[in-house]
Amino acid sequence: MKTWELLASIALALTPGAATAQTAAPQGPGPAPGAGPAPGQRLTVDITGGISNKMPIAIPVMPTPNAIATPAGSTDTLGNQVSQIITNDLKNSGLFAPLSQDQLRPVSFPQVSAPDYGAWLPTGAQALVQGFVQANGDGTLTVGCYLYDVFAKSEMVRQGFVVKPSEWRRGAHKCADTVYSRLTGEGPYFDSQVIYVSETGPKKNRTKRLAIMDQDGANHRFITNGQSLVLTPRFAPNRQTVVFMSFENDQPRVYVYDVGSGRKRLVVNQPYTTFAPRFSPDGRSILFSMIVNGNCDIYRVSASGGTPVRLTTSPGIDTGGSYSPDGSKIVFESDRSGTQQLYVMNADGSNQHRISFGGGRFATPVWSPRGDLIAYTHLGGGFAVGVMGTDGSGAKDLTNGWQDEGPTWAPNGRVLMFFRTAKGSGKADLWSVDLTGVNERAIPTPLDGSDPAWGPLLP
Amino acid sequence: MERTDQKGLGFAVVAHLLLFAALTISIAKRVPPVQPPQEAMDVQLVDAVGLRSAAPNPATEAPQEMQAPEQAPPQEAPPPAPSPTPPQPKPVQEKPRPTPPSPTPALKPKPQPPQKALSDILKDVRSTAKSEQAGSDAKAKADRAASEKVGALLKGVLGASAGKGENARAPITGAAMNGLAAAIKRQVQPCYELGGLSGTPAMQIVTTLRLRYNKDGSVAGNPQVVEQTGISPANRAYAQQIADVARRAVLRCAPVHLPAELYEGGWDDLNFRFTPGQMQ
Repeated sequence: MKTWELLASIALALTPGAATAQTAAPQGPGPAPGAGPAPGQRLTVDITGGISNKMPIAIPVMPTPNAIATPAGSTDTLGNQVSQIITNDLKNSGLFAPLSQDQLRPVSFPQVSAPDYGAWLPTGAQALVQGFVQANGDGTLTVGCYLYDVFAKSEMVRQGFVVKPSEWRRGAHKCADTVYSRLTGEGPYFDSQVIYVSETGPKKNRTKRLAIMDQDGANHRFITNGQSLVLTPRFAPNRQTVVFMSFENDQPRVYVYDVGSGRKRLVVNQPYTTFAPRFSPDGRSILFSMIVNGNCDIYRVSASGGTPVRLTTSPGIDTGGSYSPDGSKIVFESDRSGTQQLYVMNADGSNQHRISFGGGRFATPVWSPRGDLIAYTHLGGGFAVGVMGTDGSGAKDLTNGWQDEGPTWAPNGRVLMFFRTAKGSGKADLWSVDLTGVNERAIPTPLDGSDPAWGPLLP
Repeated sequence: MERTDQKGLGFAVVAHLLLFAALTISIAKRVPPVQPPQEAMDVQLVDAVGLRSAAPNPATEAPQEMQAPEQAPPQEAPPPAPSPTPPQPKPVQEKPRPTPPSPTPALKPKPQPPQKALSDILKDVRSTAKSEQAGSDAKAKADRAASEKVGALLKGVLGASAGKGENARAPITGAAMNGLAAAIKRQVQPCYELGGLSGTPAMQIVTTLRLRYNKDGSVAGNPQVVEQTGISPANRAYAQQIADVARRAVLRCAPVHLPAELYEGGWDDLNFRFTPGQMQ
């Protein structure tokens, strides 16, 4: 017995190969800390921290297969204008740096679908937008739209838009939207309209009229004559109806206005002051505030009329209701805690709870069309426009003007428009800002402007 | 009794002697070869990396950023421009400017220096490795009994430096790979532009691309997305775009300028891992 045990231990001791292999093996193939990959393994290069530059993009003049006169002008002239509109849209987004005219080169019609990548490489453009404008036999126009990746030498997206000559600009906006969405991952927003209050006259006696314009300021038109003061216009989802507050007959009340027919009617035919109206996402009902016996609460009424339903009952001022995009919740402002703060409740008025807890007061909440954020006016030292999560988390001011207020969301939830009142003169102008807090930009309007409401994307 | 005692005693003595001999042999075989080569390699290589970057000893991030502008010229060079457009140099120069704090990087000329530097390092690396290995070879010869198995292991550890095959194509050492990765990073980083994705939830998506380079430093074929991590419902819509900017970065900052001797098994076939935000 002992003999065999001894022999066994000797045998074990005499197999150094195995022992050596065991100790050496882990050290062999495994790289030492900080060393490169093991032999035969692919090297991985870590690139961290991307640069946030605007993307250089080339948008040459769009050619036409045949220069044909249309009610909107000759198709070759239109090709120039369309590329210019696309250029402006992308530039105004703040995310792109379109090449200047002298960096661009002419593109022939056949080249539209077969780009000369080599010629664009030296310009530094990372993306190339080409297209054409063509007059169709039925009187319509086709705007062809192609997006190319210059360095990958590949087509990224192509689309054609058939438009009436009177809506030729929309063909350009649609093309810009296509490019923007493909390159940024965001939803489109260029083919949309804004309604706002156009202001003129002395500080104490302003004339205020409703005006509608394209998102880029084109096709501007007034829809009220300025005899009565108007405030807070808001689009219905179908964009054919607008709801706003007017001081007609010196009584501030909410009206529904049909853009097509120009007719308007009272939302609630009662002798109370009504204000702060807003449509529900499905357009079937309207939220508004009403002061009854000195108590201001939020009500809901069918867009076609009827009896209002009271949603809040607190003794303070509850106003500024705005639906979540799925229509299930409402964000509003209330001073029930002593100061103006933001609250969220279910669409039926249940489960009211406060979401804003930062310093200062919060007003004019608007739920993002994406559903993830709430924009507001922050009243602290001054007025700033900011955003927070729907639970109040991550609140941050995006602007820092003297008096910035009344935010409204672009249809894609990436851009906000608001109005900025100048110190002293009291003159207001429309501005926009990117959700990331960059690209603060004045929106050109013929007169002063306030209270903008960004309409939904056009179909 | 006595007989068996004697037998037993004799057996025990013999066995102990055998055991002693066996242990001595196994220790002699085991200890010397394994450790020295590895330590030597590491120490020498780290020095070499430090020397190359001509910067403070830890050749980490500072030197990489310093040399960022050098990457710009090669980018200008590749496309022979038909139209005389000044704007192209502009954006390229503008990008590097913000990163280097001192004006010196701008003075550093062209992409050649890093290339030479790298190959120099490589020579250093190889020569040191050779000398180290010569030493260990000598030891190994002295201890021939142990040479067979351990020698094979050594080759695996040493890679390129084993034996006389200095001209033979052999795996590149880990430190040389590290130098390579740093050189490639410096050349590609300036082209990693996020555009409109900056500041969005897309920043949480990490994209890994697989890419092959041609020997002239140009990109062969289309870089393929190997993996994306960090995708959530909040940023899913940006996944394609964040991959696009990664792909565009390697395409724009090509051709790369790297030592030809490290091409095969080195930078011919790579993974790039793009992290949009700064590392925590």
